[in-house]
Amino acid sequence: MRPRWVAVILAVAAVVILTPGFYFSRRHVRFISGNESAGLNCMPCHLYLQQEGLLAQLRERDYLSPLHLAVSPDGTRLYITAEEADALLVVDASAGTVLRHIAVGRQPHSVVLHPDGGTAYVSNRWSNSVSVVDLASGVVVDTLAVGAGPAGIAVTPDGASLYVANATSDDISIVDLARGQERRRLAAGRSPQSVELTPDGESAFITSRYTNAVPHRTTPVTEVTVVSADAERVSRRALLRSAHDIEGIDFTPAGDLAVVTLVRPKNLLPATQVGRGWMLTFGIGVIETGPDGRVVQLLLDEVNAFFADPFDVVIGAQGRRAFVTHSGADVVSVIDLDVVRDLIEAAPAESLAVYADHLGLSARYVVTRIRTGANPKGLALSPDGRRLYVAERFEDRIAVIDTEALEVVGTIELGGPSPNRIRRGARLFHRADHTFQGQFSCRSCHPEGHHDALTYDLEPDGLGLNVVNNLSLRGLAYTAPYKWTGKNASLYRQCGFRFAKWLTRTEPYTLDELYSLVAYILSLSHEPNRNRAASGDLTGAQERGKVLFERERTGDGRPIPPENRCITCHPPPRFTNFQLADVGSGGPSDTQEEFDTPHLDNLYGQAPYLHDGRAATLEEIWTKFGGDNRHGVVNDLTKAQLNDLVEYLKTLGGER
Amino acid sequence: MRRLRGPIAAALLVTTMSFIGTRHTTAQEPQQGSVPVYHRWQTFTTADGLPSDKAMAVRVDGDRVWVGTDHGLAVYEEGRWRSYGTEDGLAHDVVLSIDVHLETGDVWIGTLGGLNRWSAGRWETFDQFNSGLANDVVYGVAADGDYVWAATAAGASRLNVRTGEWTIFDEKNTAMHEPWTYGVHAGDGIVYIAAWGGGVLEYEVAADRWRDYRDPDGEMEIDLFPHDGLVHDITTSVSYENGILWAATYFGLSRYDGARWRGYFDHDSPLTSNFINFVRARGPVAWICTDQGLSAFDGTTWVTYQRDSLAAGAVEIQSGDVSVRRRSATAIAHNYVLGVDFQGETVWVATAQGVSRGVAYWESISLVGR
Amino acid sequence: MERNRQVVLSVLLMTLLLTPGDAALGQEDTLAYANTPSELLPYSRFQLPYLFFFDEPLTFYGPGRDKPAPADVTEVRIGFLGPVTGGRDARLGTRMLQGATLAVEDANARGGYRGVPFALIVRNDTGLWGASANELVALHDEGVWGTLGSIDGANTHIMLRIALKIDMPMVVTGDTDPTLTETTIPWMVRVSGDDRQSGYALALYMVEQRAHERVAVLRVNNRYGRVGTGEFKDAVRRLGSPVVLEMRYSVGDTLFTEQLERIRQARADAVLLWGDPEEIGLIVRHMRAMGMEQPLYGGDRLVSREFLEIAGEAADGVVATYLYNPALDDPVLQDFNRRYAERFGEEAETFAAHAYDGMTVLIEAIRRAGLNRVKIRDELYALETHRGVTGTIPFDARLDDLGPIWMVEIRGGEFHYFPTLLEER
Repeated sequence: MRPRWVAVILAVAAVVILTPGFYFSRRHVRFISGNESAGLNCMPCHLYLQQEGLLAQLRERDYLSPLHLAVSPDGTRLYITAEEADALLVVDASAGTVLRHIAVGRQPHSVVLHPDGGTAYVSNRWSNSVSVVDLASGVVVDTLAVGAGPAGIAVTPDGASLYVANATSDDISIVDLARGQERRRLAAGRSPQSVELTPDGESAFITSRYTNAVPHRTTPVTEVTVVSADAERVSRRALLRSAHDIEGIDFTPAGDLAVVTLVRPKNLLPATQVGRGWMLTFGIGVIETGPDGRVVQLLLDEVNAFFADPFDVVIGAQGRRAFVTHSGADVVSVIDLDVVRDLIEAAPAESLAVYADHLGLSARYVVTRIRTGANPKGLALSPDGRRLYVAERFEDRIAVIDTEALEVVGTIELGGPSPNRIRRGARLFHRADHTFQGQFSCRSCHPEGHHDALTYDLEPDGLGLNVVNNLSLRGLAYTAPYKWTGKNASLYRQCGFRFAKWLTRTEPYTLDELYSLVAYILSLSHEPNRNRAASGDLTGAQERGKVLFERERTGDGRPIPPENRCITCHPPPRFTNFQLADVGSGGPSDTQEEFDTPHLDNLYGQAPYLHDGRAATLEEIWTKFGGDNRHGVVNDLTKAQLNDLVEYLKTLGGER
Repeated sequence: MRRLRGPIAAALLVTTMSFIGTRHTTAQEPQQGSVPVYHRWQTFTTADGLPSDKAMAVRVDGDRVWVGTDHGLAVYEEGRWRSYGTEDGLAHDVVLSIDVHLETGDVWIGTLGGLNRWSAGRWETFDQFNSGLANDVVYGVAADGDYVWAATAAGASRLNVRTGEWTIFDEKNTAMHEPWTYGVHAGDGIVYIAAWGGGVLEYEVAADRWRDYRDPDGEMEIDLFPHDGLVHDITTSVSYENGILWAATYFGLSRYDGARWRGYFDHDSPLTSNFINFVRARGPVAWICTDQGLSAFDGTTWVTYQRDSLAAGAVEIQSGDVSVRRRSATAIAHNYVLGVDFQGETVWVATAQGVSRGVAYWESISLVGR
Repeated sequence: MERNRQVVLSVLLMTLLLTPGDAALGQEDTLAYANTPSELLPYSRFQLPYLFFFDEPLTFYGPGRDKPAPADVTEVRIGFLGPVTGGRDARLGTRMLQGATLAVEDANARGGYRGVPFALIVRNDTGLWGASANELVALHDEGVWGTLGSIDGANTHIMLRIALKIDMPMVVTGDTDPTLTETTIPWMVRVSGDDRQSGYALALYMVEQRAHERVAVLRVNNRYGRVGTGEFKDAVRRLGSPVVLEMRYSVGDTLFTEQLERIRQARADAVLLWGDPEEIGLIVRHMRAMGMEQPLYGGDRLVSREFLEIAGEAADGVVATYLYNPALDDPVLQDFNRRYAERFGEEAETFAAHAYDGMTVLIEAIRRAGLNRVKIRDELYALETHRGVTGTIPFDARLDDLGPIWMVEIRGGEFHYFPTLLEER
């Protein structure tokens, strides 16, 4: 009897105590997440999102994330950049075993081999350097200083020079390899990604991710920069209109054509277009390399199926086939270049304009699609052209494709750990299968978790009136609320069912997927801030700008109301007060005057600015759109002071 | 009475020169020194494809020649002119200055509406609203190393092309009297800026150090002594070559060799006018663009070019006390000269009524006019 | 041709110059640049300068006179650049605009330009971030035949530089910056006196007439204050009574105790106050309230109803300069005063009257020259005098207005005008 009574009493006590506790917990979750649709529990915030401490350590895994690769001239070795391991991996191609991890700089991007076969060069995006690796000893023998965010690299056939695409500083370094020093710096497009030399070595072609500066509310125009190797000057800027995110490039063996990957975003169409398909389309650019050569765009999508996020391209030895990785669709498209040549050879300009948006053409030149593991990125062909190696980034694996049979004939495991929640989130983020007809992945608009320099019309009205500036997802942790309207108290709300309803137009993520996706997004960090000295010291201009940023009085001593001081709405450490504010930026058709105060991390690379992207530069925020002194009191500043303020703003943020 | 002194000196000079000019010069010839004497000029105008006859600036870029006019930018390449206007991306139709960045080949263009970078066909505009440029009126531009300098109506601006940082130099952080800058020269790690009322400012890039050269008498309305320093604090253009600083003003010319200043005026030298629009040196020779002709001078020998009323060239060569005057069948397009640059053995001249290039010159004085 | 004429002229002048008794100094004061009295010439006690720059007429040697006038113009545009909205200077700019407007209306009533009306294209030059420079460029782009403006010294200077590049005739009536005409750009006419003349007049009056020996300067800390007092300071130094103390205040200041205490400590026996009526009015009141009884002097901006309103009775005894005499018994002037008052509901003052004269000068030049900017310039530079509402204006070689300026004493809340010492000479 007694134990029964004890159990009854305990049960009653539990109900009495836990019910309010449960009720309180639910209220807390709803309040924090802003997500009314129940279901969220304590785990995401109190476990998955912990950035430091024991839980974070337990969660931490050492992934490799192979990004790009090179094959030794004899075909026996693969050299693979392991993005998350800060290493160059040396792999025995036939045995499929990893021979060596060579530590390089942070966030290695590309690897190329010197023509003598004895040296590899690895670009380190977060170290702003290129590692020179002696392959015989496996030792980094030199580190070359280049521009900011070096991505694609290429060595000239004579082995004398190295071309580096600096994705953050938007320029091209030409390094004198004999002296180990940069010799020249040329202006690239925006966020240059890949460099490839023409087969004759006379020119280097450099792709760009972001559009060149274009007027507000116009479609992107993105360039492929051509450098004359002889003059070491830019000789041509081939423009790809209404396209951007040009990542990979390769040439036909004859060198007459360059093929690049591209995205054609219909960013000015209302997002309701997603429900009809063709919102973002993906394809290739074919650039005739001769004088006055044409620039042709062709899609790799199909009428009801899209192949998101093409990343790399290689052309087989005979120049008849091109292979393109679709990192958002987990396939490699195989393209018959003979068909492409026939198609475009005699086509008049009007036809080519139609082809650029034509979903029905790909059936003619896409030979097949080969399925790969998660997030296929870099490609490399064996010297005999028989094997195609594909870096499966989120598998920590290399797929081996037989270029005759056009099928995966093997894989090389690089030895990564099993996926944790963040890794699962990364896969979700990069895969387009959660969007209607696979039209885009999160990555399509947020490459590397960053922004894409475009504005989109995401309003549900379908009118195309209000565009919003697409922001970076890096460094978002602890900056809620989200969206320019500040409507979403958490990313669980932002990326939940509303997201599926308005944007992806398909089934929403499951709760578990949502946990993973948010965990991944909130793990993204900006690169170390390139404008702040390693010592943390500010330059004279930055220091003066800081004083202006924090000032409480105008130059002639008048007090500035707190709401008109920079520091009030943008206080450290995140440089946002997490509030909405009306800074006079509302447009005529905006439905609200107040917008979320953005954090200011790594602002320098993120033009355009303001909620609708109307400010093409930081200066324009105040010169063109700050005349009423509402976005901070600035009209008493001289131009020199405004320059100082901008220099200070460019130092904010960095790696978190 | 002071207004008489110029004409009097001019009268004396003209009288002397006419005398010399009419005699045979075999007995005594002026030293030609390093100054070539051009006698064949070819002129380009709108008839040849220029967008306007009024050429404000000229800059040579290898085989190309860039000309800024008051109605757009023109480039001469492979024997033909091509024009660019605002529809192409030019910041304003009135182009005031041009420089070519030797390292990259990027062309920097100063206009009345901002600064352009033309890079392999891509146009970028930097103006006072979208960038840190001090002012949209860009009188002078010079690109050297990592920096592009712009002399604007509200201070000198410097762009670090690698970091995107803009810095403004004006009366608040330099010895400028007023922020209105007219010209800039940059090269070999040293920058010179011609500033209204501020004389010439010198900046050593490596040391980040400024100094200024001023007119020692400190007065606008006079020059107290001709050789005591700059002839005037209102400077319009500056050039530095072979260790010689040349400063142009609307009041005469100054030359500084690092130790000694010399002043030159239209009444005491063959300088065609005190009103100097532009100066550019090549080696030891400065080419001085005035509102009444073109002069070349190496510190010893003067060669001046004017177009006479019959459209022929009037060439005067003077060295020390000796001078000769000659006529050439062709002449510069107009005596109102706004710019000059050099392409191999050719000299290009921007005038208010067309662009001229000097294509043939007399090797030595003894051959002049024969 | 030009050369030959110069040669002949030079030979004639040489004969004159070589006659015994060099008359370089003393006798021919009125020929000197800007009416500078001999004792105020730089280095006049020590050295005859090698060159005097501003004595020769300005000639534009560029082309453009053969450019034909456009056919079928429906209006003849004239640009106006000035502070018409925003900021304190808008008050002055508005008066300048009203004067210019009346001149255009009068000209149109007289038939415009050969039957085509003149149209004033107005641009505000108070834009932020240096935008004022863009405004003259915009006027050029709009096809004006000449411009009138501005007031701010820096803006007008920038205008002048642009004018040279785009061949734009420029008439200045509201900017008294003496350095404006020192650039030698042959595209500008000034129809008004300047702060050099004010500085000379005040210096001579204060040192020679009133025998002040310890003059202090309290000025606004901006370009107007710096440049406006420059010639005064040079002049009193050359007259043997250098400024003993110079103090500054900022636009918008309301407390001046620190500056005034310093002036008191410096035992100044007279104070030049240079700035706008808003602050100078307060300063005058503070000084009198502090028991500082020194004679006070100022520039033409004090001759305004705003100054009388702010300074009140403390204004009594203040002596200032003014660029014309609005009380003169001159039928032309009084007719203008009457019509201006009828048209705009307020009394005409210096910015309005000089803008009227300047605009008339420009319009007359356009009428004579036709629609060609270089020829309009030539017509402007051919002017020797202009009979305007502010009197008969004699122009010097650089087309600067050398007409008399006036002294003003405030007594009983009214302005009493009297000639400067230079005039009396």
